[in-house]
Amino acid sequence: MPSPFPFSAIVGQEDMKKALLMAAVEPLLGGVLVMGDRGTGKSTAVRALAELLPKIETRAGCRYNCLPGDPQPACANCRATGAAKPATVKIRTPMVDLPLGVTEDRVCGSLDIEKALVAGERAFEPGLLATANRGFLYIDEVNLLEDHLVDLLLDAAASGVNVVEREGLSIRHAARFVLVGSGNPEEGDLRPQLLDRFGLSVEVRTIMDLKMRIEVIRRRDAYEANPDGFVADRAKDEAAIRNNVVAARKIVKKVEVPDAILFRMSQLCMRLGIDGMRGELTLLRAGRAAAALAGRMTVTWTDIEEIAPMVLCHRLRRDPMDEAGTTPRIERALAALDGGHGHA
Amino acid sequence: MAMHEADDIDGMCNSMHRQSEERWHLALTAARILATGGPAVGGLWLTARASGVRDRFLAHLRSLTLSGPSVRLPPGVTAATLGGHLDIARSLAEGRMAWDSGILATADGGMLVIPMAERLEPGAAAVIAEAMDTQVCPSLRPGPDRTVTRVPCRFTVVALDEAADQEEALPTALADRLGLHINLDGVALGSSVVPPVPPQTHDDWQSVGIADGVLEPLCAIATAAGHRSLRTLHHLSRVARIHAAISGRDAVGAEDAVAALRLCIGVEPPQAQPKPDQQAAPPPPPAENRAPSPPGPQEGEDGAEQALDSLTELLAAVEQGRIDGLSLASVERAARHGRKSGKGGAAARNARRGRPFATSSSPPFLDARPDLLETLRAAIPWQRFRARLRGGSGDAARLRIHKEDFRYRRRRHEQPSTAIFIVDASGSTALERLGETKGAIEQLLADCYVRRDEVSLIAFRGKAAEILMPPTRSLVSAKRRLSAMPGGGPTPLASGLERGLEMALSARRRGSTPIVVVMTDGSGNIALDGTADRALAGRQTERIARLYREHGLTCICIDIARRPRDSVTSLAGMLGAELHLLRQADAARMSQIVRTTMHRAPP
Repeated sequence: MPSPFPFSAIVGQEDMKKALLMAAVEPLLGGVLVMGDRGTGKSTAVRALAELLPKIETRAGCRYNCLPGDPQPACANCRATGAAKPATVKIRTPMVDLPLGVTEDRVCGSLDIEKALVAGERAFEPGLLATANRGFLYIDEVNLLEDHLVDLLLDAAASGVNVVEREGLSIRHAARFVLVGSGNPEEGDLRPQLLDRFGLSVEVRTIMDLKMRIEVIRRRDAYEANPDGFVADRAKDEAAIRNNVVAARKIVKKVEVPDAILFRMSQLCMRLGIDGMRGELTLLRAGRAAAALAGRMTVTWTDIEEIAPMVLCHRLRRDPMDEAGTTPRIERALAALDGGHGHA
Repeated sequence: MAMHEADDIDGMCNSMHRQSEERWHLALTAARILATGGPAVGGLWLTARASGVRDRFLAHLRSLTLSGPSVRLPPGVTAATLGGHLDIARSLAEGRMAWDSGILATADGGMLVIPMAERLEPGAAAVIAEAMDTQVCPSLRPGPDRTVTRVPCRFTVVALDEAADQEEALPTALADRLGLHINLDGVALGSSVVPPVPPQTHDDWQSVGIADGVLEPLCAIATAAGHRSLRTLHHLSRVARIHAAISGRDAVGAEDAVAALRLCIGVEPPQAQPKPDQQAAPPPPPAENRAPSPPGPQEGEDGAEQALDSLTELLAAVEQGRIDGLSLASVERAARHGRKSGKGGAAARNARRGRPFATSSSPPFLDARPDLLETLRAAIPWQRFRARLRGGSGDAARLRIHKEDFRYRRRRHEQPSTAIFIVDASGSTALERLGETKGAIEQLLADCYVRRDEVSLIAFRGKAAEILMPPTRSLVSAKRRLSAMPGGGPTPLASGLERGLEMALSARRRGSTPIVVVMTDGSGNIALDGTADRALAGRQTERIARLYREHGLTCICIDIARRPRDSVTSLAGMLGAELHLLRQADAARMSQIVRTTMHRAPP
């Protein structure tokens, strides 16, 4: 399989790229939803991201992507002691493409039928949630996925734990992953309860600028004519983004949020009528991630202004009549807030 | 005179004949390009009914691409059959997990023919689309992802679209990824002369360049024709390059670009290209056009500049809306998707979730899980016989489970309906009408508790609509709420429809099937903001009504004017509603109409 189209070669779609990078910096953000027109490079971007991110450490043969220093109770492989302990290895950031027709068994894991039938042994066969631990779980056409599966995925993504209670098995294992969903709103909507649980939501629109459109075609053609050469040419840019993410990950926990900013964030949420604390909490985390990506140790109001649409637009009460979408409403609220207080 | 008529008929026959030949010629070019480009152009969207012409075309396509397999997709495929699934019978026989390779894997390196593509489930289409994107077979097989060898699958899709009416269309996930679109309707069997298969030449289209001067107008034309997806652009540029390669050129010329536009998005050059005087009346869609082949030999080298002009001309024509494409813009396609009916009942009975109500020996849906306990219960009585039949080989402890033992749990998911009445409470007849509506609602409620249906009422009068009764199942609370209803005043129809739409969508989100009953006798005269602006109100009403259709809501429109009015008829059209005329609001008939519609909806 050729290496995927490089992340840095994607033309435009800055919002989507930023959201994905923020999620890579701060996994607690709770996933990214990318909704938009067809053929805008949604899948390309997500598939490219996993290739870009730094490798993670685990032990050879581990099915749960355990940290080498902290094996999980469910993982017999890593809990072996003495000479049987497998060596530490580095693997690519896990990137699981969830196929649409997937079954619940396959997602959560289930009884290992083979062992049960052949050896009469009751063993757990880890599912995709285990494979995605410490990485990304990508669902294309998330709006076409069965509802009960979406519930299950979001629940695991939010709690970071996968609990399996079935067929006499009782297993818990870590499932900390960044959920990335993409879809085309023309083919069906997500329930608002589900929308709300994605941390960030970006709307991608097809590029309408002629020059940029041509640039897209050119790059794609160059990539297809010689994938390896194209990727090699881009290696430098890719490394720059990778280093940026690595640096941001180091500082993101220490980024400070001044009280004045916190206060205004709450005001913004109240003005938009957003229920619950999740909006503000995500705004806070996203603000930190954005500042960390920019290499700053303090969050500024400009950071918040930039990310507010992607954090909040899917949390507003939906108005079936509003064709312009919810982003303008957030922009209006931001402007009103600025008008009242002046820039901080 | 008679001579003249005969001439006309002759002319018509000639033009039909010419069109038939052109289409066939275009189809042949498409086949050639598909054979050369393969997966790079995604595939071919073939709009044609099953016919001798189509068979001949497919046979020709097959003869061009002999190297790979040609797999025909069986109807009703699921993700499991596409990507490979556990072969239970073989697994049990061999005592280890045996996996079927999916259909997609068998199509690797060849052609995947999708008959009746307009009936393809969006889920299955998405699986195929994913395989086309990643060129790897989507694997449903459990096991560590890193160790499972990825099965490559590179294939070309030929989607046979037999859509008969507006509401059927290819799933957009798939349609967007198919580069070529050809229509074989109207091609006579006589025209479909299959040319000899050209010798297998390996045209190196990858090395054919495309200059910005050609690419730019190509982009602009595609955008102007409503194709905003970047994939369409990729396809256009590739098809143009392949066309140049098979015509023996090493750079894309304008004629290749024009050919690509015809092949991919059905934009036909205005026929007047050689004879400017006829440009005044270009026929609607692709009536009489020149065959695509002449430009090559005729224009030759001197054509470069002149040809670029032809692209500019084409762009101008597209922008003015004088030509329209064969394949619809994605927005329209999506709108056509909105309305689907009649499948709810089955889905609810063989639901994936809900209360189990029975077991069956055939799976209720294709990838259903067997019910272990019931399967064992079915197998156990036979164990002794089976052991004896097998000659007593093997250990006695092993269970012998046959295919016929498998039992599946069937689930039933009750899908209630919500009837939403939107009633015009304006004008003089308001009181009487509201009274009868009340009667209808009470009659509906009286028997709907059995089916867990709900009813709600929105009335509009004065400045805005008002929810008189939110969806309820309770007859008592309905009676209390309906006891006092005001009437009279102007008609804020737009507002009423808006509230109704909100309510219907929220009902649907709760898992219920909304049925909207609009009772009105005319057009609205109050805009959404409460001002008496008839024109604005009309526009708003139209917009909201189209949203109903887009969301595929079941609507009934009841005209209660003294004389039937065009405005109600057109409203019903916009809503996609059934139109009923009731000279006098009559509770019994009203509830009868609504009940019939509800029963037709999922039980």
